[in-house]
Amino acid sequence: MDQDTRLQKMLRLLGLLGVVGVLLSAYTPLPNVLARALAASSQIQPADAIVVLGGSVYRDGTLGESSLRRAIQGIVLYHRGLAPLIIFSGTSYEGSPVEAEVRASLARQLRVPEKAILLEPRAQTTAEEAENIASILRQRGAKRILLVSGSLHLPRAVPRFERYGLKVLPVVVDDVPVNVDGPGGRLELMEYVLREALGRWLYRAGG
Amino acid sequence: MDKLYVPLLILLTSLTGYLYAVRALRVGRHDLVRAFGGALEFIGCWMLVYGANTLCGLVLILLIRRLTGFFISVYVLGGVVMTLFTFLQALVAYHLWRVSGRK
Repeated sequence: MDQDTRLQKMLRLLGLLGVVGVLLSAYTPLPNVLARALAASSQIQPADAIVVLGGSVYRDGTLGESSLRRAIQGIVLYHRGLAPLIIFSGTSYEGSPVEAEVRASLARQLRVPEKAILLEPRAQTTAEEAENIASILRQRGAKRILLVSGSLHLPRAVPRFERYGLKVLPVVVDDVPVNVDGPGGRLELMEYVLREALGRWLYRAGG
Repeated sequence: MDKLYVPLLILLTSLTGYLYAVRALRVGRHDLVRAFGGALEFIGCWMLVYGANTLCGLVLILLIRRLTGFFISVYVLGGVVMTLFTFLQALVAYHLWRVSGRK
């Protein structure tokens, strides 16, 4: 068998695997099963602070979908009286306003008092968010936190915060729920699963 | 029904296109098999190129972060732009390979 034929067979096999993979992801519950195996679940209990992890913000100040959902969930938890402080994380992305400030402004409009709001506007990765926020919390004597993020991101984020001696209670807020139905939603969920699996591997490899 | 609408639509237009091709272009069953084979080859090529771009992109991002302190998010590798450019790159690579095989 010459090299060209071998390459042709290899590409056909790879292509077939790709097509089968897409069909399985879109039309079977495979992404739901994988997501459920990897996802964190919420443990909503009273805490010393609510920590809302960053998402994204556009140049005109519009919060990204996950950023907005997480911010709203954090504000709801505050109004339920679950913690006296709320920390918004989120930096500036390529000339955009600082995400944490945009979220804080939203919280003020939704009647969260100024003294309850803290910001972490510099961190660019989950690891940096954990380090900087732990330092802010230490100054306030807060040890128990409600950590608001996506169900597949939380298993990566929780251990990062626990490294700094914090007791972390995860709060799940998803753009794509793990029990999503329909081919489009399932493909989106599969992409999320693969992205977070890669993220976890990178975090493990990087220590 | 909503979930099956698009696959059924694609099946219908494909059948119509095939019947037209059989009559107007005298396309046979063997041509259809070859077309499917070619499509799988291209998809395989796209996946290979996507994998290579992701791996190179990841290594470069980690190097840039470590050596310069400049931050590039790993999430850029998962966007529509990456998918689109990789598609075009794979299209050229695939046809280049096909052309080189005919020489």
